[in-house]
Amino acid sequence: MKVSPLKSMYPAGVKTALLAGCEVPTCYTTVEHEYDVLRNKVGIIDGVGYAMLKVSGDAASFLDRLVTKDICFLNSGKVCECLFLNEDAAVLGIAYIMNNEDEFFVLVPPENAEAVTAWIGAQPQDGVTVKDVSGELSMLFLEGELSWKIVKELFSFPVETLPLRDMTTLDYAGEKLMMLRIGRSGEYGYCFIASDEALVKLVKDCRERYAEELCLDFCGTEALETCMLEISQPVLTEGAAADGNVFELNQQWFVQFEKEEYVGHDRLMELFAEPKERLSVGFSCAEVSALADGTPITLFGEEVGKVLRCKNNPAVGGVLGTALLKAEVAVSGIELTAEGHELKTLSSPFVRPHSWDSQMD
Amino acid sequence: MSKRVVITGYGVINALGKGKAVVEKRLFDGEVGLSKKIFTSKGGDIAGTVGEVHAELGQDSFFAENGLPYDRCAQFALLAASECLEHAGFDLHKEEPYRCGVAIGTSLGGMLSGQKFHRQWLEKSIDEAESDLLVMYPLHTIVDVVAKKYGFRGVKTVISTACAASGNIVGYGCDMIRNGKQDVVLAGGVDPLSSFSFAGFNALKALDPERCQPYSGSHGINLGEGGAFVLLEDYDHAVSRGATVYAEVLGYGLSADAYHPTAPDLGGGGPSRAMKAAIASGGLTVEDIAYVNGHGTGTSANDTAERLAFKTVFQERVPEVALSSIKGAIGHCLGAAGGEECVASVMALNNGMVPPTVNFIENFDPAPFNLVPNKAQPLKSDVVLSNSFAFGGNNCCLALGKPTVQRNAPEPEKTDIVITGMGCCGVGGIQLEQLWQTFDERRRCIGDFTSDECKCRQAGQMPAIEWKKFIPSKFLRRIDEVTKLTMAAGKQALDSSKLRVTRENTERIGVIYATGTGPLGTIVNIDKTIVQQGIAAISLSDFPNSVINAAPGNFCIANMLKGPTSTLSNGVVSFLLAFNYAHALLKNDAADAIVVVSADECNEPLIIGNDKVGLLSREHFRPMAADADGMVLSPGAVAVVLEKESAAKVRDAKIYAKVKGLGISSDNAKLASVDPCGEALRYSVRQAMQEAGLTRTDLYLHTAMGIADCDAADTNTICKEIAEDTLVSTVSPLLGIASGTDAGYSLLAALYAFEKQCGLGLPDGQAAVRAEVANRYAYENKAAEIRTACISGMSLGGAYASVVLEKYDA
Repeated sequence: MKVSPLKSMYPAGVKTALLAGCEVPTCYTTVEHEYDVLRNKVGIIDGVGYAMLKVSGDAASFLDRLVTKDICFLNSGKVCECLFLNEDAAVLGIAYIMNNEDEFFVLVPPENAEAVTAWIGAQPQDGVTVKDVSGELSMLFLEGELSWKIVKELFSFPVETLPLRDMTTLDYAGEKLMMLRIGRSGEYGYCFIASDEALVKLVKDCRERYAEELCLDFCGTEALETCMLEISQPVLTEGAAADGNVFELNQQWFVQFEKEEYVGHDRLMELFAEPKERLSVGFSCAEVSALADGTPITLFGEEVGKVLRCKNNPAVGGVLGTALLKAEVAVSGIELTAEGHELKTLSSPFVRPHSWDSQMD
Repeated sequence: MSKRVVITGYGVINALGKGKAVVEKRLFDGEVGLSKKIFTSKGGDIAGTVGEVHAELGQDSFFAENGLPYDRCAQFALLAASECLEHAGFDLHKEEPYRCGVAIGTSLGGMLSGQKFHRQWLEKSIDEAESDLLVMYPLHTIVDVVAKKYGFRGVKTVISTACAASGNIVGYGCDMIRNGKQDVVLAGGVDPLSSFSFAGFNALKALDPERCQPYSGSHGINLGEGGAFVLLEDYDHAVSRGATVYAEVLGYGLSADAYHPTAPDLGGGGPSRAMKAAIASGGLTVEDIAYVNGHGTGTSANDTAERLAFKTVFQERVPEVALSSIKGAIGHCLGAAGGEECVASVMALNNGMVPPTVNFIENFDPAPFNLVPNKAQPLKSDVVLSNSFAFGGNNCCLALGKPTVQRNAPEPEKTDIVITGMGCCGVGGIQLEQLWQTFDERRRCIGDFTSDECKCRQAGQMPAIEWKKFIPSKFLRRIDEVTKLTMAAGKQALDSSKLRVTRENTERIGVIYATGTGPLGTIVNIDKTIVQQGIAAISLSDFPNSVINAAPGNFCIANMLKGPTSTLSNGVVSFLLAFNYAHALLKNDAADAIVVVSADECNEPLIIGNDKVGLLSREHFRPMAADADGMVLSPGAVAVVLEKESAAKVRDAKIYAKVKGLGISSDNAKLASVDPCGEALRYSVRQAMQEAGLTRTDLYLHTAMGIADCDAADTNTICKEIAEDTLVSTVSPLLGIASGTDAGYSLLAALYAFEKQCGLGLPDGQAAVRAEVANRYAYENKAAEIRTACISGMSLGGAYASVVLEKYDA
């Protein structure tokens, strides 16, 4: 089992979940505090549990056949966020695919790591070598409105010149550290991939210089998922495929519609062409602090859908969630009922990240 | 030591007035030349604030003397060029005319004439439309007019990189002087106001309805018009003729954003690279500079990106370096903007003042920048930069200084330039293998064409192509035909070179694009919409494709190429001019590798238009025959990777050929024609051969347009300039004329000959060529030892270029 190199730096009392064979921190302190750090300061998200696969050889063609976006034309230094599907167009997982010159990296969040790794492993691998590098490298994220400032100052790097979904390599701690501008909270975010030693040093250096101004506490998956829910970023856990298809769950932005050849494409296009009987929509409810996944939702006494995912949200008070509803009522601005409580449907983003409206200085 | 290039005269016309005296006074007094204008169109008039030239223009005698209709853009060019030459005290009669060239940056060229023609066509018929208007339309007509007016016979080039065009042309002119080809280049920019541009920027919602406010309000641009020229001169030449030196072009930089077809990279990466390159190429440091004449269009995206780039370059010196934009005074003159701003910068160097950014909001806090709000300031340095950043992500920065500036300009590494990759897409084949097979079989690729609106019945045929093999699918739905051709050929050339684009080398790989026709299909569709539905009906998605440099912009984005980028257009010789420019950039160490890519559509409007002016063959294309009756047009794209030999060897690249010599010239033939005596073509061939140190080559490839005067020029050149034992060849009987890409196919035929060790013969059934040269061609693919080749090209309007290649021995 991979143990995070940052584990010794965790505060006492961290809660974890077993995901992808790793203890993935879900909450270090409180969700409210960690949410506040991500939305208003800068948080550290441990990347333990991510699948990290290095694909070399004819990697572009190999991966291009398996995902929903162009990889053959993914230029060096670019990162693509896409889906792995099976032949029935069921989502196996989200992945970041990065072109690092001679080789491609596939990075898969913990909730999908095992499924995608197994899927890739099961594919014919003529002309490619797929290697799990999670034993040699580790990942962490810095996410928050001013995370760019840390990158700019710590590395003396012109951070404004690195667009979203680009990567670069930096000399740090005597090695080449990969830095990707990606993240899932909706704030400015940077992912670092390097040796255990380099990442430990990075956290220490960041905290030494910026903890007072920017906090730099660890943030777990609960707080991250709270942020992700606010901007309709999917958390596709094992059972999520049963919730609905890509279009019902409004995840079509992961699909490049002009691309015509990949596993699952034909079925996906059939689903696209079909009339949608169900669609997902966001909601808030100020009256409760939790609603279980699957809770029925009614409109004027008639059941019209169910809660997909729901979390207590510090920004709105009460809960924020997504629901899968009959298509005719899957609109924002209406009132529904769940367990006798009033839900109000919302359009995304349900809470607007600060980074969307602030520019790097 | 590199040659010094100085400015010995300038001329200008814009919304502030006609002539440098009035423009300088009003500019530095902080006056505004903008005015309201109503653009009338079907579907409703639209009002705008623009930089319109209200001065009395008169009409140059050139038009009447040459039987041509008046064209506003050409008139701007003649006025500004005339003032420039007079200011410089320049007398061509005392010069070698082949060493004096003209180079112009423009976005629109004769668009106003073209629009007039098109309206006549749409509202009446093609037969009733005036063909003379069509003669004035091509981009290169402007440079043909100016060269002919004054008798220049050297380089004759148009650069059309939208807003960066005439900044780039000043740099280009300097390169032509530094590489020894020219002593003098009359370089400038010109563009008129047009409903076409207004409609496009209106669709993009990029216009400020009121006076634009660069760097403060930043609500959008005001379009402008005008012309500005400088006389670039070799410093020693200027001194020897006793010229007054007003400024020196210390250096310049080009870069590509590789970011978006129209929006600038908000991080300012591309612009900062261009600025740094200008500083470095001039042997300068940031401490030498206290003023930047900014691009400053007045859009939020542009102003933000430029400020960021400025900070990246000047860092803690930001408060000490003034940044001002003159677009608040004269509007955004598109292709002329760079030239206008170059002249304003020269004025600043000479009068010791920085022109203000007018319309600046009074209580806007510009800190930490000094944006020169509303009032001129003293200039505190002897060096200024002038920025021009364009659609398609083309960035240009000029470094101008007083001639007394001491600096250590870097000496570029001495290295040869080689060809390490090639690709093609179009007539003859969608890939190199197919083209080689076409050459093997000497297969004609000319087929039937039918239209009720023209008499020509032939056109080059292109096989069906699976574009997604070469072009990312996310591009395909929004790009037009000429862009597809560009991207397909360019991608093939890159792949063939095995040059991997990485973060480390992306800024050292450039793209120089050539086109004779540009996105004509897109332009015609947009103009048709304007005529039939009105300005407001223009689609947002169409307009970005209508700029000539859209195709290379998309190619750069798709392949992450961020090095120096430019777009040249001068009819059928365009590819060779681009090749020449790329060679100069590599020699000057502006890049390590450059993809030279040329692409041309062949569609109904192009064929009908050329037929209208009598250039096309009717039924049987028979180039070089005594009774040839015109040319046949074809679609095509060719790309080669030019690389410094030293860089190619480092990465162990396969090298196909070495560039041994280049020649460039022009004549002052009648517009849309050439001088049949071929003297200028012969000069370019001779110049290339001399540079190569050769008296003969094994193979000579030429255009063979099938137009009587052109074929006569070719014939005279073959007879008088090409050795008797040189095999002569031409691709046009097989492929037709792929407009500006034609000479690219000739170059590929040379590389074919190197590989196969045989020259391309004429096809079976070819009509008998002129008796004088009939025995110079082969009538089959003749095996021969072919180690050297000379390729020449010509354009209608009389621009010529030649290149000598040598097969490379590893």
